[in-house]
Amino acid sequence: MVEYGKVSTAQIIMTLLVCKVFTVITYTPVYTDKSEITAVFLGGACSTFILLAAAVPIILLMRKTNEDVVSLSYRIHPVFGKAVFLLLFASTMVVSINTLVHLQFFMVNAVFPNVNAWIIVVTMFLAAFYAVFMGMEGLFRTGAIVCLLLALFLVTIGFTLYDRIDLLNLKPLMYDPVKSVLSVAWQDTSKNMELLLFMLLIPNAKGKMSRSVVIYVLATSAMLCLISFLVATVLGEFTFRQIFPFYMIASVVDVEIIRRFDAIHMTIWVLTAFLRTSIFMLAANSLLHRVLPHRLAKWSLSAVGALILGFSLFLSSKLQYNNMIYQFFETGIPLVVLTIILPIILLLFHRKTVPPQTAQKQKEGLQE
Amino acid sequence: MKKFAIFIAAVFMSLSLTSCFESHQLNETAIVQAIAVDLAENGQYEVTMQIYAPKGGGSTTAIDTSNNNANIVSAKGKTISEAMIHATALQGEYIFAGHNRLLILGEEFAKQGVENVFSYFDRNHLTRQNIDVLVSKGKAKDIVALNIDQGILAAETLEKTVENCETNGYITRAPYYQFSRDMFLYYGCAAVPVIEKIGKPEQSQPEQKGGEQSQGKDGEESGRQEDAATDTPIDSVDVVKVEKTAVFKDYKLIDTLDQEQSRGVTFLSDSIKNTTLVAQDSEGHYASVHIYECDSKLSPKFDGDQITFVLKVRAKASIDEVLLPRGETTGAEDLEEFADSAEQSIAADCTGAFNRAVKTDGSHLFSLGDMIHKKNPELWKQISEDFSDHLSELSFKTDVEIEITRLSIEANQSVTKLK
Repeated sequence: MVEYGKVSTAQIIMTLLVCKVFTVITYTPVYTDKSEITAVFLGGACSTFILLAAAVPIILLMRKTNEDVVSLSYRIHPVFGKAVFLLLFASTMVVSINTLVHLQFFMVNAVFPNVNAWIIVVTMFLAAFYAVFMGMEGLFRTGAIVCLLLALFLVTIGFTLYDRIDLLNLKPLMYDPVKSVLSVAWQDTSKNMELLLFMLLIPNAKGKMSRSVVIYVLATSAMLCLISFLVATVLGEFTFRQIFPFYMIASVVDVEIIRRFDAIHMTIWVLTAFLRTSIFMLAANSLLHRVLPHRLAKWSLSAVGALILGFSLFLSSKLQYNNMIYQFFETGIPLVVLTIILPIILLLFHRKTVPPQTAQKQKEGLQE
Repeated sequence: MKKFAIFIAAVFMSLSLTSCFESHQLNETAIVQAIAVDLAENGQYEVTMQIYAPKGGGSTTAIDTSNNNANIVSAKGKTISEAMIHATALQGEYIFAGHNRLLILGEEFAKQGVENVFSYFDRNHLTRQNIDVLVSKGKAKDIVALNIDQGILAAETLEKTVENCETNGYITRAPYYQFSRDMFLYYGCAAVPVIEKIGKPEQSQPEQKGGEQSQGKDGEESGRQEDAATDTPIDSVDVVKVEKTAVFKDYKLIDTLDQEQSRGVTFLSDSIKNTTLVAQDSEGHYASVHIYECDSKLSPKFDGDQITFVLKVRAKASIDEVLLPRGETTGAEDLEEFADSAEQSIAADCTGAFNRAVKTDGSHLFSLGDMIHKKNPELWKQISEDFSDHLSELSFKTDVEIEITRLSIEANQSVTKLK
C-alpha cells in the first residue's frame, strides 16, 4: 500500500486482531462437520502452532525485504506479477464482500428480522467506503481503539460468565480424537486471511513487521482459546445447535447492571465488520490503484466500491453462493497459496527481485 | 459535488445506523412481561400474555403502584407463532416480547410434550435467554392472569418469588437457555420449578362489637366506619407458591417432586445458596439450622460394572432458633446432635430426589452421563447407547458434613434467667 502513509506496528496488530475477531464470533458450527466440543477447544489451541508454522515464510520474507509482495512479484516476471495481483485483488475483494454479507445475515436474523438486507449492506458499505476514502491512518487508529473496547468486552464477559462455566462440558474425546482436533485446528487456521494484509502492509509499517506477525499470531490464539473455552464450557455440545454460539453466551450473561449483554455484542460485531470490510477494501483499492494507468487510477476506489457493493447485494439474496465462497476459504487453499507458497517463491527468487542499486550496496556492505 | 455526496451519505447513515426503521411508539407497544402456553382444544396452543399497562395514579404519577399495572391478552393457534399473531390482532398494539420475564408452561401441555416450544422461542430473536421457565399446576393462563396487587407488575412479583425460593433453597431455577440446553443434550430431560396458585383465604366477617358507647349520630357513624376499617383484614400477598419440581423425560412432564425432594435437587445440582433446616436432638427439641455456605459435589465411583454416585456436601451453618423447655440449655453435644440431624435431613432429601427422579422416573438429570463420560470414558463407550436402561441400577450414597460455626449473639432467654 505504497500510496498510503506509515502506521505503527502496534496499530496494525490491534486492527488485524479486531478483523480476526469477526471470523471468531461469526463461527457457525451448526453448518460445519459435527465434532465434539472438546475438539473445538483443543483445535483452537493447536491452530496456534499451525499458524506459527504457516507464518514462517512471511516472517523470513519480512526479514529480507521491506517491499510489498506485488512489487517483488513484478520483478520476478511481469506475468507472474499480474497473476499475483489478480489473486491478491480477488482475495481481498472476496473477504470484504463476505464480511458485508455475513454482517447482514446476522443483522436480519438476530437483530432486525423485518428489515431489508440491502439497507444493512448499503449502510455499512457507505461507512466503510468513507473510511477508506479518509485513508489508512484513521482506519488503523480506529482499529486500535476498537481493540481496547473489545479487550474490555471479553474480560467482562469472561468474569460475568464465571458461574455458568461448567468444566464437565470438556469431556474426553471419544471418536477419532487426533483427526477431529486437527480438522478443527486446520479450519481455524484457514480463517486467517489477515496474514495476507501483513504482506501488503510491509512498506507501511513503522517498526519490525516480522515480530508483529508473531505477536499477532499469539494474541489471536489467546483470544481464540478464551472464546472457545467460554463457548465450550458454557454451552457444551449445545454449541452445535447454535447459529451464533458467541452471541448466545453473551445473551446468557445476567448481571444487575446490564441485563442485555447481547446488545454490547451486537455493537462489537458491527464495529469488527466495519473494520474488516474497510481494511480489505482499502487493500483491494491499493492493489488496483497501482496497476491501473495513471489517468484511471483516481477511479480505483469507485471501481472497487461498486464491485463490492454490487456483489454484496447479489450474494445477500443468494446466500448459497456466499456459503460456497466461505467453504472454499475454509479449505485453506487461499491461505496456503497466498501466505505460504507465494512468500516461499519470493524468497527463492529473492536475489532476482532485489533492485540493482540495492544489490550493489548490499555487496559493498558485505565487502567492507 | 463530493461534499454533496458526503452530505447525502451522512444523512442516510444517520437514519439507518440509528435503528430508525420499523419504529414503534411506546404508547403503541404492548410490552410483554410473562407468557403462558397451554394446550387448547383440537390440539391448538393457547398463548396468554401479561402486558405492561400502566394505570396512572393521578395527575402527578404515570404509574399507580397500588394497582396491578397489567393487562391480559389470550389467543389460540395451530402454532405458537399463529397464536401470537392472533394476539396481536386482538388488540391494537405491537407486541414486544424483548422484556419478557417468565415463560409458564401449562400442566396439560407439559404432559403432552413441550418440544414445539423450542422451535418458536429458540428462533425468536426477542427471546431473552435468562427468562425463568416454570410449569404451572393446572393451567398456565391462571397464573399469568393472577391479580397480584403487590409491586408495580404482577410478573415482576412472580419473578421475585421464584428468585426468593431459589435463594432460600426451595428450588433450582431453570433459565430458558438452560432448559433448552438440558432438553437438547439429555434426551428431553430437565427439572423445572412448579408454580401453584394458592386459594386466598376467605375474608372473615367483622365481628359485632357490643357494649360500645355511642356519642350522638355523627359519632355513631364514625365509630362504625372505624370498626369496619380496623376489622377488615389486610389482603394476603401469598397468592402463589414455588416449592415443587417438575421432572421431564422425552420432552414430557412425567413426575412432580415434593418440597423435600426439590430441596434435594438443589443440593444435587450444586445450586444451593441458603436454606434452613429443622433439626431435632435426641430429646426431641427442635432447632433451626441455617445453612449459609454450602459446597456440594456429585461424582461417580466405579466398582466393576456397578456405578455409585456419591454426593459430597460440605456446609457451614448457624443456629437461628432453639426450642427448649424452660431451664434447659444447649451444650456442645447438642450442637453436634442438631448438626447430625440436619445432615440426615439433607441425606434423606437428596436420596429421595435421586431415587425418584433418576431411578424411578428414568430422567437424565444432574449430568450423570457426562460425569461417567469424563471419569471413565471406556465404560461410557460401552453403556452410552443404552444408558437409560442403566439408570435404575445406579447406586447413590451421601457424605454430608455440616459444621455449626455461628451461634448468634444471644442465648435463649430462659437460659439467661437461670444464670
